[in-house]
Amino acid sequence: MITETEPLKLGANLSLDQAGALREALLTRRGAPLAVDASDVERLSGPCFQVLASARVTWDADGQPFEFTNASPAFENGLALLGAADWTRPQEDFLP
Amino acid sequence: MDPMDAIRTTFFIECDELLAQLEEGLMAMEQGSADSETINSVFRAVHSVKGGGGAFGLDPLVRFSHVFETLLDQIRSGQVDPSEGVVATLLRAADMLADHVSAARDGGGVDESRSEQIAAAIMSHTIGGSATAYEPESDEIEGLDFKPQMIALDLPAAEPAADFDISALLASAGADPVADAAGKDEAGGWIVNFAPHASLYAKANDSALVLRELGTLGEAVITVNDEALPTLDEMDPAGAYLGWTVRLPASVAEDDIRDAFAFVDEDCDLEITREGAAQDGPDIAALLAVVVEPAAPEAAPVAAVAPPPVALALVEPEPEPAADKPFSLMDIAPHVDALAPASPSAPAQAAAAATNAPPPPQTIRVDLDRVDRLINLVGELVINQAMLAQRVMESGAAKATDVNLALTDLELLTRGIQDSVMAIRAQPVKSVFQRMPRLVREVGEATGKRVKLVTEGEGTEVDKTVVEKLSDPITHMIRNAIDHGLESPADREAAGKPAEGTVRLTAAHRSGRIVIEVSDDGRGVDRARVKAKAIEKGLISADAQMTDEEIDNLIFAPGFSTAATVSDISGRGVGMDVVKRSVQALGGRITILSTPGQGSRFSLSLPLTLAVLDGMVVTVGDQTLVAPLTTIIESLKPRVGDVRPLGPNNFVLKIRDAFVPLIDTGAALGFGKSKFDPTEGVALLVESEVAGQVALMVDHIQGQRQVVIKSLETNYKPTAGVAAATILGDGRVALILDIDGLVTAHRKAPPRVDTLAMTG
Repeated sequence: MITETEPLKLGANLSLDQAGALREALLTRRGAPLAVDASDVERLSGPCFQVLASARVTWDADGQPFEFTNASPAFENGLALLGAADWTRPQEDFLP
Repeated sequence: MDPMDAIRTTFFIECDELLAQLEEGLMAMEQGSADSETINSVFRAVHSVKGGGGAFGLDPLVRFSHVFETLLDQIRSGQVDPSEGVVATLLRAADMLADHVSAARDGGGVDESRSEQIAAAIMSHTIGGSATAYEPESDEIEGLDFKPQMIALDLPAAEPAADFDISALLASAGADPVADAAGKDEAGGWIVNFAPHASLYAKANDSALVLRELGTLGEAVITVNDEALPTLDEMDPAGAYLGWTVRLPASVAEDDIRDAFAFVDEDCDLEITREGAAQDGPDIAALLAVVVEPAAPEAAPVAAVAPPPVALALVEPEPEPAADKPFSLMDIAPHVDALAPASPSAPAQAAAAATNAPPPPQTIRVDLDRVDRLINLVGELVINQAMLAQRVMESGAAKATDVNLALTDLELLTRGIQDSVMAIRAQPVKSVFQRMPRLVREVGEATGKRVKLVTEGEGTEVDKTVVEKLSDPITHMIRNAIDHGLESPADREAAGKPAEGTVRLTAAHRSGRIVIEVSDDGRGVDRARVKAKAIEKGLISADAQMTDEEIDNLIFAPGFSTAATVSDISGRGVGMDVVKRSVQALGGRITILSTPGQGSRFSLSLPLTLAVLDGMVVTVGDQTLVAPLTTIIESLKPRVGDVRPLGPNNFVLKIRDAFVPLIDTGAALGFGKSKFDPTEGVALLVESEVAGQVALMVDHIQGQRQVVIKSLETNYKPTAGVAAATILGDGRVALILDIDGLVTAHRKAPPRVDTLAMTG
């Protein structure tokens, strides 16, 4: 469980045009453990998923923990559709 | 047909369906059901129209739908609230989109200023406003060097389980032995490799939606390939770095998979293969031997732990042991889903949860000509069956012989085939009903009235030929209901009614016919005005005593109009007259029921098909004729005193208090007897369009029968007084009477005959 930093709260609508903003927001948090709060997410587009996937890769490369917390059902569904249902499990279980 | 034309035709057919779906969704939203499924279906409809439009280079259509889609996307994502005003704009936009589609299909242009005006209205609701206007994007994003990745499949193999269901594995490997025989290499489940290009996202498409579409086809196992994914600082949010591998059951049709990519296939790398295709499987014959032999329990683990190509091997229609397969693949096909639980992968279960919607029923598109040919042949079959029955009867076979029993079976079978074939051409009236909300909006706007349209029974099915001809009469009736029936909002409030008027459009099956009703809650028929108008037009005499019903029916009289000024909407004096004629041409009836102050109700009663007809079979001279039952009011035997001569050649028949023209059917058709004695025959009182009620003299009535209609026009030539022909059980051709044609033929120079004017 990551408690040191303030979680990054995702917006409700992670639509196509939100990918840029999401990337910026994530980049400002680089270098520290990060919890991403997905409780409000109602929609997950491919590009936003891609940014989140890249963030996982990035945090992994940096050796920092990265996790999703409070995933909403819509977020879980979105991940499952995009072949990443296991993301919301603790990172140790993730086999890239 | 040129292949491109064929695709184009299909696109426009689909557009019609999509526009209907759009309208339906928006109507639901208007009634306050803004659930995500409704909004999604609305979005998808516009999006698909746009995608197809783009493929055909229909720029105005694409531009408009892009603006439309942007707003819908924001509604879908909850950024914009679908308030009443927004939905009203969306409805107008849907109408405009339909115009764009028709313009693209039929050539010609659209009202550009209206299109721009509506686009502006949409943008005023859109967050980001006019910035969302469509701009064609450059094809490729600079510097992006994306290479399609071949993805190594690393799915957990099915684990051997104690209760493993071998039939399920077989089924998943190929549920369709015929298809397998056709393509020997294709037997396993589908593997779809999908890698979007950046242009896919740039065109506002989304890989997530494509994957969702795939998920609806069947149990999908989706894995993501992120090998090419750079770290955040190196990535372009508009780029495309991910690829997906989707495994689908073998039972899914390849076309359905390709359909999911219909609008993105230019913007992605796509590879659809059968699992295990082009790979060397293990010794097929040996494996088959293991599986096919009764020692199946032992075989189960073998099959289960084997790599995917085994699945292929199991149903490979190789000659040797497969010839005596002890099981049928068709029988076990329903178990197709049973394999999935054997896979421990979580995505499969999540995907299953996401796709719990029932799959839509499968349909095929068939050329109407083929169906018509089939219907024609079935008509022949019915006739032939009747002829055969008659021959058997004539041959003197006793009633309870086997031949007769077999004939009864044949009759039942024939009727079953006839019903089923008719059902192929049956269509729900929805396609007609769906055009009406737009009409109501436009007429309401033009007349300054607030109207709510309530429809019921859209699913009621009726023959396609009837559906096509319903549109005009319903349009006229609805226009009429709004223009003449409903009061202005101020008048309505003064009368203690809600300002918004209601027009109801309903369809239902009733005793083998379809009944369509258009009712309004307006002022009802203004009988005093109708009567005054009818007197003024010379339709009735000034002192005529008429029942309310008779007055109401005056509005169907040719040339009757009560509108003080002829408006754009209705009131050209042709409306209800045309409605009645087109309904009668369909073998239907129209009735009106009106209550002053409470509204009017028009009922159309139509036959379900135009291929068969209920007729009264009659004899005239040595000919057998069929009179359409719908036109017959009553039949009677004239008494001597009731028939009066009118001029040298004509007669009138006294029926109760009225005199109606008496027509010698045989003479009118040119094969009558030389001497005409009305008291010897039977008079059919029929309703004609040109002369109101008319009595037709025939010799005998044989009975009521359903007959198959054969066009005389196509097979011979148009004949006055004859609508069509049919073939009777004895093989003879019988003519079906065209009542109006007959009346016209009888009266070469038709004087006005007023059946309503009382003489007695």
